Amino acid sequence: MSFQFERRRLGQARIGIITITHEEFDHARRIFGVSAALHGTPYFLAPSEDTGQPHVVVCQASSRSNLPASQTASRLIEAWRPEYIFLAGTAGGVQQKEDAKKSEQLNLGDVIIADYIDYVEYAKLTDNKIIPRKIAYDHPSMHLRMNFVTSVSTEKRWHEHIERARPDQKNIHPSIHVGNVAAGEKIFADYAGEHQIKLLELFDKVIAFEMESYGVASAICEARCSVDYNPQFLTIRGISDFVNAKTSNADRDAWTDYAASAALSFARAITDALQVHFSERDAFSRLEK
Amino acid sequence: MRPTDGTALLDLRESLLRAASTFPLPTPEFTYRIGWFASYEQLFAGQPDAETEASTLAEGALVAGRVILSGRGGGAKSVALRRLARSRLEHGDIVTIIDMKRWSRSDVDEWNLLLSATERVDFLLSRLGSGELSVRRLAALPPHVQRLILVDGLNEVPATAGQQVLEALEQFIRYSPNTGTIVADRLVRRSFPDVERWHLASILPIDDEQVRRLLQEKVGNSARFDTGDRDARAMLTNPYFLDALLGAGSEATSLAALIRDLFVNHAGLDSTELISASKAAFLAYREFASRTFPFEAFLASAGTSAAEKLTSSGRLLVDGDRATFDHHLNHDFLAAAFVVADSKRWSNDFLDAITFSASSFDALALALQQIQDVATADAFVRRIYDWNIYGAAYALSEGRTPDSPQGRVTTEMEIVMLAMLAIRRWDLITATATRARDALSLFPSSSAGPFLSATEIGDVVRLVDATPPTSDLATGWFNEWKLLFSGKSLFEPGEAAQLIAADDIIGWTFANAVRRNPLEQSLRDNLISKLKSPNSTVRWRIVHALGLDPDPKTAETLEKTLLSDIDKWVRYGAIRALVEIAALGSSELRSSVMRWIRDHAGELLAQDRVVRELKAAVAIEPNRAPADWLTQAMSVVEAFYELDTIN
Repeated sequence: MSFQFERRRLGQARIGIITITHEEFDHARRIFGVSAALHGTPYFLAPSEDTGQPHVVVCQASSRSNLPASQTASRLIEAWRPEYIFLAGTAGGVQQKEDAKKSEQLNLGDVIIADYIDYVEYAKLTDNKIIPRKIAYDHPSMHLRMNFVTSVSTEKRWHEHIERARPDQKNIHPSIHVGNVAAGEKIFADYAGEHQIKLLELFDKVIAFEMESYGVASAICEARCSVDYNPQFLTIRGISDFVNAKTSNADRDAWTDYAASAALSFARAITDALQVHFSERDAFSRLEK
Repeated sequence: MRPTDGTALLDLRESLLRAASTFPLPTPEFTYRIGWFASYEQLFAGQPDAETEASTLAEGALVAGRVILSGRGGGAKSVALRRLARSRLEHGDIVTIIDMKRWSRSDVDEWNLLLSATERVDFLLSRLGSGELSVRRLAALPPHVQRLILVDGLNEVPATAGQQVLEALEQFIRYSPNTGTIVADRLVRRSFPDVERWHLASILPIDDEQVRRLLQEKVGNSARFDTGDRDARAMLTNPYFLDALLGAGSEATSLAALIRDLFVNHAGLDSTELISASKAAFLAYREFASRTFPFEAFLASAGTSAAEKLTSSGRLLVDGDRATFDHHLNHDFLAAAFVVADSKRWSNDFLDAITFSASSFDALALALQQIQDVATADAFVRRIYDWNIYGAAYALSEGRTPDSPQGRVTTEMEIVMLAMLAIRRWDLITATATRARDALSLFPSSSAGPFLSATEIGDVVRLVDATPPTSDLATGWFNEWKLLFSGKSLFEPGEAAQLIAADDIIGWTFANAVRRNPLEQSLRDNLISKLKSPNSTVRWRIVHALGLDPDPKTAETLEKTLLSDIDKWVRYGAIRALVEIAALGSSELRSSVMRWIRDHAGELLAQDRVVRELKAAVAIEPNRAPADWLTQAMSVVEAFYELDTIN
């Protein structure tokens, strides 16, 4: 009687894309052109023509929130050891005050890139106060932000992959914003709620709230146990609603699909830019040999 | 010299090979086959998905990353790992065996200070591993080198530490290329951090042809196997039993009798030396809570003559100032012999000592097998039951020797055990329901089958009702027990004190009967007033009985008990009961109880057994959980997590 062991290591991928919801995953598969999963695995592959190894691996977390995201990231790392990991999907933005600079104003459908992840759940509640606690985890790659996000975001081509029309029918493209992102375990949709208001005051520089970046960041932090593995990660989120707006729930219903498409479109543009980078790197490597 | 140089790699492999060459390996070498199982249910039922050669264990570990090799004591797990280590080292891999038998009580404090997976794996490698290996040395190896971390005897450490070992390995392997682990463990269900990442394997019984051939070669004929009944044949396919039988040429028909032969006929202990060695073996467990102990302490208790005979015969292995028995079953046998020889020693403390606080039950089965008459065997099982139902179940299922009078209890006693386990299948706490099902699965299907296939508690009651007493020994108490068990026994609240303080089985059955119906105020008051009893078992039964009584006064009583009772098993029962009350009570009572637990997390955190049970108990059966249970349970988990992290 033979027995097939489930392989823990499936290959070497360059980029791993993690999505959370079905809509995000559907957009990811279409935008990255991956239609079939590696048999018996949750991974959809876009193979590289050069190496035969997959260039991009797309997968979906088993559920929302940080724990499933962490498990998904750690499994992705174990199976593919990707050099780059993108968490792409939607988030609830923080609507800025009316007197804020125009460049700081977020609009629905815009895409935010995290430069810092705040895990807002790890805190002590005492005397009606929230005292944040600290725990070790990674933060998004400065290398990617400096060398790829800035340049790609100024090129209009990144919009090309957005598959949906804007729900507001405006003839404008979404913008890219870089800032702090808060990761928690709750959907923030209680604009007048005491707890939410307190958190917004406490994390006053946060531009968006979501539920998975901490999970991915902590898995990457754990994986960083050898000088031979130095994964770079990004959180890329389309704004589906504003957590501090009365219309939060209705906006989310209307904008989620577009926002997911915008986030994945930007992820695709970064991936394309990295592909050029890989080609150059491989060429230099061949020259050296 | 850089550690990744070829020479350094060869040096490392040489040092590991030298260490591996000292592993004792029995001869003749049996040929083992490995069974692979999709679940613990299949493992307990002995139904593998696939069977492979023993060498595939390494392949499984390297391809899949993690293998748990689960089996009964004496199932050749250690031997399989040792052989694997040698062959893979010769093949060029880097292999270490982490011997959990060397884990001592003093390691616990240091272990608890280590928080990361890397630190914990490093502790295991450097402190308990063969050869001079560490996480840093593993990380310095060239990427193509395959590494195997073999862990022998996960069951040798307390359950909490065992779980932490699994979690540390799980994480370490995840991020370590070309590395795999095989963890040998007793036949107990473990919770895996990521269950799909582990492959479940077991060494299969030795095949019939091999048993016949070995018996013919060593004994001259295989009649014993050919003419034996199913149980006798099964025993001969157990690697430890067969190996010891071939070595000792014994006619023993039980494991305990065979081990006795080893000590008496092979090691040459006389009856006085056997008694003194038994006492020393027991004291080694009690004083050091480890399979490894100071030789001087053993010598002082066993006496020079017995100690010399044990060491010269190879039964006791001495390494520097530490000693360990050549097989833990031999140590278990001696410790069990000391306990079973005098009923005054059948106390909770003594039972805790020989089972490492209910972590390893082999000694109980070996104790039962050393009892020669049914009445004493019944009494011993009753006493174990009073201490731990799973210990009693294990002693009965594993200590069965139908071919001899040893270890035999009355049919009625077996029915009681099966029925009391069976009703736990409908326990509110998922871990209890699962554990009860697992314990039943270890019994032969001929006896446990109907109890496993019962679809409701009523089926169990009907099974019990349909069983008449068959033994004069049991006629009186069995009928009384049946009435109580089936709920047909009527009692006044004033009788509660008498019943709950009655003998072991009646007392616990009464406690369970109380749980099946709403508690009247007078009975509640009566039970609570008896919590002043000096008998800790009676107090434990009372908190157990109060568990399904969602009343504020009961909750308050249990909270006080949890903080003030001196007995760990009473506190263990109290935390379970509090969680049950929270789950069954109104949302106000639930909030109140859970708030109390959160507010007292600091005090409870110091009670390892209570915290462990709380963690298990908050996972209740999903279809019986109130709507806000997840939120409430998470708030408790977070309170403990935060304190644990801060501290």
